[in-house]
Amino acid sequence: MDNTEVLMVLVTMAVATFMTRAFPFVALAGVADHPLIRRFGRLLPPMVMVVLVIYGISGMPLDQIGSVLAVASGVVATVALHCLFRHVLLSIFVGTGVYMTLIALGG
Amino acid sequence: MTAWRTAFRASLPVLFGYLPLGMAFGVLFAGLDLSWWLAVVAGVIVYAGAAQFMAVGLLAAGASLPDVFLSTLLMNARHVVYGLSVLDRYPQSGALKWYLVFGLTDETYSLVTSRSIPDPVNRHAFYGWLTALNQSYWILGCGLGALLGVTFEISVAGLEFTLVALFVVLLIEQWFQIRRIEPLLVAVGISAMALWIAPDQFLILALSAAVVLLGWLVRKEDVWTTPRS
Repeated sequence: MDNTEVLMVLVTMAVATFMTRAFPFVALAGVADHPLIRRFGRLLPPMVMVVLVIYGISGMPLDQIGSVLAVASGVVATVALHCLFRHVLLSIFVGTGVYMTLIALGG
Repeated sequence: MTAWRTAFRASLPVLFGYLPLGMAFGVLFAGLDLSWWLAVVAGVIVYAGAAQFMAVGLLAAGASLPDVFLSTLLMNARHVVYGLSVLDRYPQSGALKWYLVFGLTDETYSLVTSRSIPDPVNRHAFYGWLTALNQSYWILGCGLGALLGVTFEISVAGLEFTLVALFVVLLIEQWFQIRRIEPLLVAVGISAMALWIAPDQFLILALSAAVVLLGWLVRKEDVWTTPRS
């Protein structure tokens, strides 16, 4: 595959990605202030976040009991730290550290 | 505090999420024996994590352009949802609006929706910096990863958990904003169904179900209002 072909693929992806992001702004521009849209905009993010958490977890290797435990421990550590200190970086770092340590010990 | 500083602080967790993730993409991309700078181009013009990882697979498989187009649309269809809920926060016109629209990734969306800035001038500057900073981290990660990938054989085992942790943290932040368990339970139910019906199409299925269900529920004026504390 030469560079021009790869560039064509990337440009195609760029156009498709921008289309998905621009769609609501083009199609629904006049109704942004509607109270219904506001309620929708406030309640959708937490729901999307639940879906993204589950998506992220389902993408992790979960084929052995050890890896399931590692993911569970990482998530529990992240939740606990964040509820205690509400420090985003700390929660993410230590949570990931717990996961990576357990994976390294188990594998 | 200036918009820039507020944005920089807010963007730090994304830095630590995007740098390793962008590098993971770069390393994989370099594995295809392609020029490293093409990974940078991907970060600049596509700027979509999941889709770029998919691109590595599509490039490896030699997929046709229509296939690339369709699968990217599907993979990124969730962004339609994101746009819907930032319609009233983003500027209504101008170049900044379209850059913000272009840069509306999962993480930028999460940050934009997890805090409220009343003053529109500061708000738009904050969104602008936040989007630009996040994209610069991503581009840096893609480039570094591709450079490393063409130089060494490296493993990033376990680092991908950063993203799970980031989403978990952002979910907790959302919880502090709404303090209602019902929408979260509905989302768990929808996700379970989507995982059961079509795990390969999980994101698009779960997100469209969430949009349809919530669209139906919000017609009631008092649905899931946040209790005053």
